[in-house]
Amino acid sequence: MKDKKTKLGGLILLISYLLLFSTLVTSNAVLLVVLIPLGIVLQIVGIVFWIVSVWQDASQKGLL
Amino acid sequence: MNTFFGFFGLVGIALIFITILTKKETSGKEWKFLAFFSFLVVPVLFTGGVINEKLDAMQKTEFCESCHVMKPYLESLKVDDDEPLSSVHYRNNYVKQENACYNCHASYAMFGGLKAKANGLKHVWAYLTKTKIDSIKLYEPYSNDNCLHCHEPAERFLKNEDHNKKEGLLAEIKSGKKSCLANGCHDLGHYFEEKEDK
Repeated sequence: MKDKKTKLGGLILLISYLLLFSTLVTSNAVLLVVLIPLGIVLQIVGIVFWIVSVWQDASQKGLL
Repeated sequence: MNTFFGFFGLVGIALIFITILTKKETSGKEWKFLAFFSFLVVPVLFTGGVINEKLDAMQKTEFCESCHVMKPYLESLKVDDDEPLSSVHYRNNYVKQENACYNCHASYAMFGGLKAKANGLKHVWAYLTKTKIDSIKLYEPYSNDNCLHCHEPAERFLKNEDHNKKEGLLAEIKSGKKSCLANGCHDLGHYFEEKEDK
């Protein structure tokens, strides 16, 4: 299960990378206003998924 | 495109792939260290760098010009006339030409930049939702602070006859009680082709 969470987190982070990458090649105001917040939100979600998987891993091993 | 951030992003993407592909049920300390970098450190640094880069880009006149409704305002900066303040400041490079809009329209107060960004979001919303934009107006009267940020310490401003023609006038200008623009002292900011004030 935690393995799935890591993969999902990684996938979400990849999408956020692509969104933020695309902001580097455009100066269109509308695109930037949409892409930057969306990229940031997805990145936070991806990181949270990874932290949850680490947390679960640690609690299963009785480290928490 | 900033090549450094482009490269940094590619490294980040590669790290995520490596981390996921090398994940095993009993991953050791090395993997955890790798995951810490690829899932947290690199993405956060990349995003911080991109945001910083784009915030700088958003201060440029080309950025303002990317919405076609702003084009007449950008063109008005190049009008060969010594009356309109925007044109005088732009053509003589009194404000940095590449950041001219931002220099004059973002407040120099503590959260001025933040407020400018919030107003920018309103602009984008209006741009996307309104089929026709009748006229563009300032949200609030133009603040003296934006002028005084540069002019206040200048001798030319302090010793100007008109600024001292009445006792206490200089103090009123400095406190914002007397507007530089709204009292007919200085002409409005932008002139367009037909010399219409806006």
